[in-house]
Amino acid sequence: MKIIVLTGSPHKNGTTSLLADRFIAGAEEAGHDVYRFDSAFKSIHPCIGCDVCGMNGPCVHKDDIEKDLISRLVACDMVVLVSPLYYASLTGQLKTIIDRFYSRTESIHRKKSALLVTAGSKESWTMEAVEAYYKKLTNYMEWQDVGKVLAAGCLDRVALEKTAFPQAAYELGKKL
Amino acid sequence: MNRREFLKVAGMGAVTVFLSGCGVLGTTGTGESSQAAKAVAPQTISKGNKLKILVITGSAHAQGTSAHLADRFIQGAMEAGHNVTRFNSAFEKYHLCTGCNQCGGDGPCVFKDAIEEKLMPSLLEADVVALITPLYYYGFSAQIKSVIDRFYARNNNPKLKGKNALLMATAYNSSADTMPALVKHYQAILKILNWKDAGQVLAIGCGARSLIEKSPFAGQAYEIGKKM
Repeated sequence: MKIIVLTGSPHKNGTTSLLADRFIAGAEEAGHDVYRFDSAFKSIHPCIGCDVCGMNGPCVHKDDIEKDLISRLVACDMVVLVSPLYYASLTGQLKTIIDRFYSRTESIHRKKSALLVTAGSKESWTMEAVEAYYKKLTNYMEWQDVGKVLAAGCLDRVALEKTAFPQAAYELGKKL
Repeated sequence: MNRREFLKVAGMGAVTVFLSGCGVLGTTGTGESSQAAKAVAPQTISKGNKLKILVITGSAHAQGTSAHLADRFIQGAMEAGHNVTRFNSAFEKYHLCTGCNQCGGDGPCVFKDAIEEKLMPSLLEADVVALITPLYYYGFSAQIKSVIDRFYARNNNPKLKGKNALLMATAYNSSADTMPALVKHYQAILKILNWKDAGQVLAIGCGARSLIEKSPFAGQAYEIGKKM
């Protein structure tokens, strides 16, 4: 499979980066082709709803999303969303990418998908909002969810490394 | 393929939207909480005093559907004598939170931009914060989410806690399951900030300015502003 991993963290070696690394290691060992797009380190613009694309055409923003990512998203078999929780959901960086699906949205429908997130908080409701969001997004995009790693209570890399979540991310990639 | 045709292809009920418009949906209602404004009881927040209200919008359309809700809400609030500040995320220059933690959750942000210089003083002083957004992929627009992420620089400041919040959102889609994911996110943000929900206007089936102008949602936004 062609897999696109979209990360949302501005931390290069943070918690979600570790989940992404482990997922990618598993997926590549299983023979899949992975492309990783680190939103926080790319040139990206939020969708301005100008509708020049007509939902199926070039975006007015000639940035890394338009020039690099979007054609890969259209061609891929699976999209993996990886993000720390900022105020209970995906970061602004990653939400910027999702909003920009708009210019080719129909062509990004009907993929497989996975969600890998981390949060410092471990309240019982920590993951509820992002789970509801992901469920709604996958429903709309007609994506088939193949797995989630919801790493609550992992504020930093040290905390995450002591948990089973990195291994779960690896297994998720490996079993695809 | 235009947006409406696309929605039809995607089975999103575009025809329903076209025929019924949001006015009909708003008045018929189905008892779904997502279709009704949850308006505050008159005067419960202000108790007759002037409020400081901060409106944060998320749309890049200056005259779009959610801008109309913001306009109507502000009109009502100003008529009631309240003090309103408006921050239009999509028209301001700002950076996204990089999680550098220089602020330590309560201190100056490393970015000296519109959020730090303009928004933050109003945010700390506000009695009421209204989050007004179009629904983009079933969530807040990236613009307003990126502003919310920057709240972090005063997350632990006592002045950021205990505020009243409002949510207003507009969407093309008219089905009952359009807004719940957004509302759940809003509720989680409120828990994190220790804010209290003071009202919601969830304008489904409002994909165009003409639709929202005819809908009851615009009036609901006005009434919430007026009766706070």
